[in-house]
Amino acid sequence: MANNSDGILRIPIRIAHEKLGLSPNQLSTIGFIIGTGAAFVIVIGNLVGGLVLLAISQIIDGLDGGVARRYRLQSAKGQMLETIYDRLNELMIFLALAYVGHVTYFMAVLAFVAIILVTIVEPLSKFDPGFKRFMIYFGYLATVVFHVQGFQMAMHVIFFANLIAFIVGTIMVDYRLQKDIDTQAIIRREREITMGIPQPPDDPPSFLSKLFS
Amino acid sequence: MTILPHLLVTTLGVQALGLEGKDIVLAYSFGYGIDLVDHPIKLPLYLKKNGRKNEKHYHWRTPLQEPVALMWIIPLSVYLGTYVPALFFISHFVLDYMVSYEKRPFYPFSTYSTEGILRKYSDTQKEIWTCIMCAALIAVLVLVKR
Repeated sequence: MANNSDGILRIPIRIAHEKLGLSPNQLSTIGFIIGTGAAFVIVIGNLVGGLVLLAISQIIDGLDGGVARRYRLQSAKGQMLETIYDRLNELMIFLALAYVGHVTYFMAVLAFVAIILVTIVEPLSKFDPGFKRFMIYFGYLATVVFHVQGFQMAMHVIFFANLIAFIVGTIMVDYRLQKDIDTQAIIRREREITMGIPQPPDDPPSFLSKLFS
Repeated sequence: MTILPHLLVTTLGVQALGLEGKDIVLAYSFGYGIDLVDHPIKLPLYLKKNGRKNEKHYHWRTPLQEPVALMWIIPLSVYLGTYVPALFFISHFVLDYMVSYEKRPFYPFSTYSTEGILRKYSDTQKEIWTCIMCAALIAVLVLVKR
């Protein structure tokens, strides 16, 4: 299924695959290497340079999925590789920001743990709000514009957004299961009624149903 | 379990640990309040299936009050710098696991289901004994603190 970014990145997607002959996995690896470079550049004290590299790595991250979708090269292995690269990149960027003192190690680790939780449940829930590396730019913006500890605030947002996404994700999966179970029970009951099979007696009214009736 | 044992166990925990301020709020939220959030979630499904009829062992529970929720409650406890949410949440689900309806402790990561522990005793008996023991211990604690 086409993604919104596929339209925006239409030309680079074509160039990357048709002119440069790059596969989605190769693009993922290049994005990962640039993301690693971004963390390194932040560690040596060039924050803006690091963020620029991070943005480039994220654009390439968008290209790999775009190439995979457009040229029907999607694979479970590629998907897994991309997820691993993304998580490693996030960890490195968070730790780099902690190393230079923009965030605490405590919040960097907690934010990463929350992201891992969403990563675990997302294949089942198909729900991911995307509050990850992208929030770093807002952190930078808040730091520059409002002179606050923007990166630290970004870590708090990443932590809570992903924690909530994990909770919502688990509930969504459970709700779907319950809906299926109930639907089957309703169909079975209706079929039995049609066939004239006697139904088990209703459970006696509960305290609450007595209260509200 | 029903409202009363959860409330009594939480109150007992709050008294025994001498909690104060925000820890009391967290204790009641995770020891009891989680039920209030959890049950309404499946209400639309219940009403669709049963209308206003009572189905005694309907699966009201969501992963919010299963052990799997420790995956988010432990990081939250670490973030808040207090063991209270994790501890009182454990007390909540331990009580629930003493009652014999179906539970899916690790769903959505495992479909394993169980009817909990101490199944040879009736649910009513367990609820009554839990309430009696908690009420007695709360009374003792209150008297000792005076």
